[in-house]
Amino acid sequence: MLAYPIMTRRVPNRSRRAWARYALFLLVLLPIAPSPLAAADPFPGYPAVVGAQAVRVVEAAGPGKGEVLEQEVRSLRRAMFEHGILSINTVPDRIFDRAAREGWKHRSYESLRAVARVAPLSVTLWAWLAREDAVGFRLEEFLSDMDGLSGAIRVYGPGLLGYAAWTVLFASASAGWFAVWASICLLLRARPALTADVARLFNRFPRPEIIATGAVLACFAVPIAWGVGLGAAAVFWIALSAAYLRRGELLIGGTAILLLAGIFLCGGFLHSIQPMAGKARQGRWLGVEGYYSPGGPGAGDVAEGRLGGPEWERMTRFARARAEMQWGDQHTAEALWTEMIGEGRDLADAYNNRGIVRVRLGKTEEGLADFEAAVERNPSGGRAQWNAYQLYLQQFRLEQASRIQPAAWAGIRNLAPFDYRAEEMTHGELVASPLRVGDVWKQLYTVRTDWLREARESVFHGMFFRPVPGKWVPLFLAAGWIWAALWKLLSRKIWMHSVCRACGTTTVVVGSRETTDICNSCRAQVGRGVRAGEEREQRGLRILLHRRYVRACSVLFPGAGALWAGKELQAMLYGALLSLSAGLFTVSWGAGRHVGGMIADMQTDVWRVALGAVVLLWMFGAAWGWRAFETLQLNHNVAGERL
Amino acid sequence: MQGKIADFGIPDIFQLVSSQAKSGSLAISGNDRVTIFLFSEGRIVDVQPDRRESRSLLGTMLRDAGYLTDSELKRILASQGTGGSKIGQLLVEKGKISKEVLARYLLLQIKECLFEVLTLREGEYRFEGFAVRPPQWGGEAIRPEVLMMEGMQFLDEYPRIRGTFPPAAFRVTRKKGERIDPNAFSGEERILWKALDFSEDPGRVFRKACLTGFEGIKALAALRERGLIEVSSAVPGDRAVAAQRMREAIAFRRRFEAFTMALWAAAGVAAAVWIHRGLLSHVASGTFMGWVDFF
Repeated sequence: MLAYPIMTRRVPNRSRRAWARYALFLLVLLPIAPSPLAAADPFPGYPAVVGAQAVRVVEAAGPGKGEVLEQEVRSLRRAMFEHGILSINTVPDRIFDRAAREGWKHRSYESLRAVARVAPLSVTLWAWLAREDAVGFRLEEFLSDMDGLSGAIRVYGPGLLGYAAWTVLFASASAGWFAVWASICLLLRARPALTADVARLFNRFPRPEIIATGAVLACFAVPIAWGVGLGAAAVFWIALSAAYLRRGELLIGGTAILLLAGIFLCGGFLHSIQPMAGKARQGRWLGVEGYYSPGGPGAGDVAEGRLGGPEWERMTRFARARAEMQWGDQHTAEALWTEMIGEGRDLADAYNNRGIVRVRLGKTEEGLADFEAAVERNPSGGRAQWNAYQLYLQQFRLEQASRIQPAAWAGIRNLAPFDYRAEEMTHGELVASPLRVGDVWKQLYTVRTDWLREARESVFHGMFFRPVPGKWVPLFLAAGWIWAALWKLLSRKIWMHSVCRACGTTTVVVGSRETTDICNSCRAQVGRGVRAGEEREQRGLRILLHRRYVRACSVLFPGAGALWAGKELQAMLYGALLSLSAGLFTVSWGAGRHVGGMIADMQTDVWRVALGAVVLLWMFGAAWGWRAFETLQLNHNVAGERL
Repeated sequence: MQGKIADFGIPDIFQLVSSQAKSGSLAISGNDRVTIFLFSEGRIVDVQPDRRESRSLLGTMLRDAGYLTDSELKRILASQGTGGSKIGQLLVEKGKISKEVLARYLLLQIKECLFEVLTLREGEYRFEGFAVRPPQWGGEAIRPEVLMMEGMQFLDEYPRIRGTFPPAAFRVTRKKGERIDPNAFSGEERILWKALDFSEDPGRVFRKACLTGFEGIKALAALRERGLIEVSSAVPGDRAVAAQRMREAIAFRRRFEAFTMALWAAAGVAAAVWIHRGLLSHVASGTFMGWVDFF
């Protein structure tokens, strides 16, 4: 019996043929279309075998793949030892990118921890792991990661420079915020008295207070409208208001100008190290460790930078020799190391590295001699001891091997952050010596007269001090500082206006002292006055307007109210805290938004925390200023009732 | 009951309402003004002057006497508009004045309004009878006959006494160095003498002393006869108009400060944009994230 013979649907042969054609077409196309990893060549410049193994590590990463990943990591580590590569910092970056793309970013901790062994010089990785440990309350791992972080910073030049640059930028941003905050708060503090004094200049005109108000407003608004740099405007405002300030407020203004001078010099520092930034991934001279250079460091690196001199030349050559060594051009590397040894510089490290090159070239005895020479020059150097130990073992010189074994094992274990385990290193792994970052550090922070020259050309000059020409900036800052001091001294000799901090009454005084900034009526605590009628109403209105003004200042520029209440030092401390939070936000915000990978992930958290701190401090400052001023008015009997 | 003042004089109307112990309101209109008196059992308990006659309004009187400032008066009037309460009640509730002060100034207001309407020669009146409950904050109800006596005296004597003073605005000050014997003063003179400290404007001095214009000018004339005060014409720019100028200055300052604050607020917004461009914009971020390149 046939069941449903008519309704049975058959796929026509034509359709099958069409699918087959499509499949064949795709099979032809697929090899032509590059894979996502191959498309961008995730590990440019590394030898093919190393690059391929690194790709396998990235592909093996993922939640629950710990064992497979561990095997791949071991293989990659061996391949790296073969080529004298200490760290491939791109590996954790690629894994994190993949995790973010595939949605297991929050479960990538185990994979990234596993690859720390092939990227021990990745400062970013250690910092990310430390943050994850801190969030997860894993104290032991956290301490270990901090150890790795400090080791990476000490060994990996770009990392150290990056942190130095971050610190300098953070300090500069915070100083910039402080200068802006201080200058605006001080100008608003001086504004009423300044307006009254400017009005004296226009006494011949009707309603001179209107002209004076316009003039003072113009002093504030013109630099803004003109697009003057933050620092230049801040100095101008501080100098303008100096005569009307108390000693504590002058201290705030003076500190702001000194901080601006610091920003100027920081600009010089950043400008001097700028040639090294942005080139690490392209493998310029400090980018050798962790990131590889296909062509080796450029000859003009140091010349292009403003860091000249024999020390920088030496470090450049060291880095270039390391690059050649990793790339596999052993003959060039040997020549470079020999040249450096001939000059008698960096002997222990150069001997160690030349020894590795010579072993790779088959010159085992010469290599061993180099290791021994390195040990002789630096007996505590763990790398050369280990390399010599390995060669002794390979040549079955067991007596010599056993003699140095304890020192070799102990030395190799103490090399942070590499996590070397001697018992696992059974394939004759040789450990290269990286460029000593301490030398870079020392050179970088040697005070040089060139800093001032470089500061003129730095990006900070344009940002903070335009339109003042670069060479005039130090003079401009000094002039601002001196002008503020002289203006204050002069104010004690001539008739000037003083504004009562409690009620806002403006009086002309000579020989201004801080005691005169509370008027007689407020000292006598007469409230709105002893007389009735319009005079009483006028005083009431003055108090009311003054209170509104100070409250508005407190809310818009937190801390300004505290200045009116006479709490200068507390306000300065508050301004410093606010500026540090705002500076942290400034430095992290852009990185959190525009940079990908682990840095963006961490910086996003940082700027969120910083923004939260700014908001909290802002609210606290507004409330504190408001309350402090209210207390001042209460103490002088000009508060309480609604005026 | 209604009619024309020319046919039935105002004293007669008041006497009629009083003698018949009527309760209700008596509206008297003339000179484009309407004044309403409230009667309770033939006695005057309250008055409602014409809104256009601000001089006789209770708030203005208290402001001129220095119990309130302009701004306070405006606020009170604004809150009165929403709550529907009378201004005197509000002032007592807010503690600006005591009940006693309010009662004194209500009486003054009634007298001023009565003297004002007594000067009318043409106009109309209209009485509407209904039950009137005396306000709690007011003083004792006033018998119209008593006020009428004073009113008649005012009509007879005021033009003569006023004629002894400068016709236009004048100012009055105490003579310096004069020895006085307070016991020799009448009650009104003593009150007025004290109030001379308050202002040089006689109108405001009378308000401060809580005297009607007629009572005040009489006491002032007596003090002048004793040689204790100096009277001089107020010329433009004189101290007598200083109060007015000060009032104008206060009003100007209030408007000007509001305008200035608005300008500074705009400048603050511009400053915020400027700071954003300097420290937070895309360009600034590019500079401040230079450290990323090292990693």
